[in-house]
Amino acid sequence: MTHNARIRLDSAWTTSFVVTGTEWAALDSRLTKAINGDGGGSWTPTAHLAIGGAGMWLAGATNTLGGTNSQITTSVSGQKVITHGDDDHLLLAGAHSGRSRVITVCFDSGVAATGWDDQLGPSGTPVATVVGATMFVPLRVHHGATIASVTFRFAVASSHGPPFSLPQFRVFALARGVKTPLLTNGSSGYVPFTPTPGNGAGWFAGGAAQSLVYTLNAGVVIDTSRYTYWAEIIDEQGLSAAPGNIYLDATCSFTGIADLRPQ
Amino acid sequence: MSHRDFVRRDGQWGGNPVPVPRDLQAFDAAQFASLNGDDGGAWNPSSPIVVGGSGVILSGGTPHLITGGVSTRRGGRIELHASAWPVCTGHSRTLKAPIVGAHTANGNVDQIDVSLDPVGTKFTTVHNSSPIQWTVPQRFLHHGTNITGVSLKFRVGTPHSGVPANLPSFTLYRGHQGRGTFDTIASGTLAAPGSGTAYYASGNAQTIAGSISGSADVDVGLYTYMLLITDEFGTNSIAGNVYTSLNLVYGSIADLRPE
Repeated sequence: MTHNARIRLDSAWTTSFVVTGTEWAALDSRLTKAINGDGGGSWTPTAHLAIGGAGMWLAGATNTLGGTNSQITTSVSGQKVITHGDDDHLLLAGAHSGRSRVITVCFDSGVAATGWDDQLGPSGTPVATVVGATMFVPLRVHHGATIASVTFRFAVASSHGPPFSLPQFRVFALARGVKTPLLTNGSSGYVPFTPTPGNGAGWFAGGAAQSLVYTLNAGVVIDTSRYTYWAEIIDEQGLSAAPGNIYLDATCSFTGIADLRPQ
Repeated sequence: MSHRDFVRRDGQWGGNPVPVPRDLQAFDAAQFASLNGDDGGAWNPSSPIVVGGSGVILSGGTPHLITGGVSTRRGGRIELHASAWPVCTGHSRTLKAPIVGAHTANGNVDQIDVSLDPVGTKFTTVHNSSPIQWTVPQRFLHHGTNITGVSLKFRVGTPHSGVPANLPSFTLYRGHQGRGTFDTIASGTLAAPGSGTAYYASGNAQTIAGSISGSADVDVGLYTYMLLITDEFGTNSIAGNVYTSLNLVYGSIADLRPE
């Protein structure tokens, strides 16, 4: 159906009228079906409620789309859209799985002055050819999220040492040539690999990937409008150090993703 | 209007009143305009129906259709619950990633030239089957989708008297986190031209079509994506080819989660 029908036309409600039982029943029936805008309630219409004209405003504090597989579907023309006014973005509820995510960056996109080669590593990831070599890697980040940690992965090329100075890592924000470490630890944000291995074999670990979880200051919110974000790696150095370590990738963990703003 | 008027005010319904025609006409007009919550129907209100208070719950398994668009106003938000994402159907896209030197493996930088050709990566030597590796910038990866098509754009830099014994080819693959395994996603080799002149094609852009051959789902949290470009080599090969872009086709984009 497209609309409730009139019981009588206006002109038929004359002063000499007699309301029939059928008409009273129709009036009563239709009022029971009418949506109660004051008291609310539940209705399960057998056909869509199609509201055209001036449309509908949902002005309540909470409007819910619920029920199994329920969804809002836009029309197929591609012209009917959801428009976000002002600075609105789609919000992610507190329990939404999308409020956290990880992004892995291969060190192959690193920037290094000297001391690196990537022809030797698995799939071309950088290999330190000079002990103490430094490399910078641009991180892909999630704007508006809190970056909680960065997990660095690398592999030691041979059984040696352990070196006096183990590989060091840090994460910083860069703006106008100024590096701002994102960890305040009294060492400009540099964190050496831990735990210190007991011997050369322990340091080598059979060439398996080893990792360091770099935990940043609490509450570092990514702002790509002001900063770029970088990882810095300094290879092992000092007594008993050896070249050849293979640096693989870094996985950034983000939390506090509140909405679906453009990235 | 924000509400209907009463047919009669409360004080006027005392003493077993007899409805007059005006009362019944008002009842009839009211039921006519009421939204029918049981049978549904179509209405075209002259002003918006504003629902405040406890709001509205749209439930049921049948999608609620929006054919006229929805706009939020200041303070109004649409929130996604649990694992729900804005769903899209039948969406696909193509991203063209420029092959620039910044993402070329460090060990290959002395074998290419990006300064002579700002729109691509030029092979300055014949590599004799040794490919260069190029990391696909994550900006050109669509997280949560599948790669359904791959092609590589390039142009031959120098006229050739004959067709190279080994034509340009590429492999797209992904590496797992850490020192893990590598999955081939797609590969392709330039279709054999009939002559050196046809191969040169006046230096115009040519396409190497790839075919998907493996796991093509994109997850930037678990994998990094890399391209191996093997330039022409062998008899009749000449350095100077310029590789300009990698075209990635993402099909069946199911939702609008962050890329």
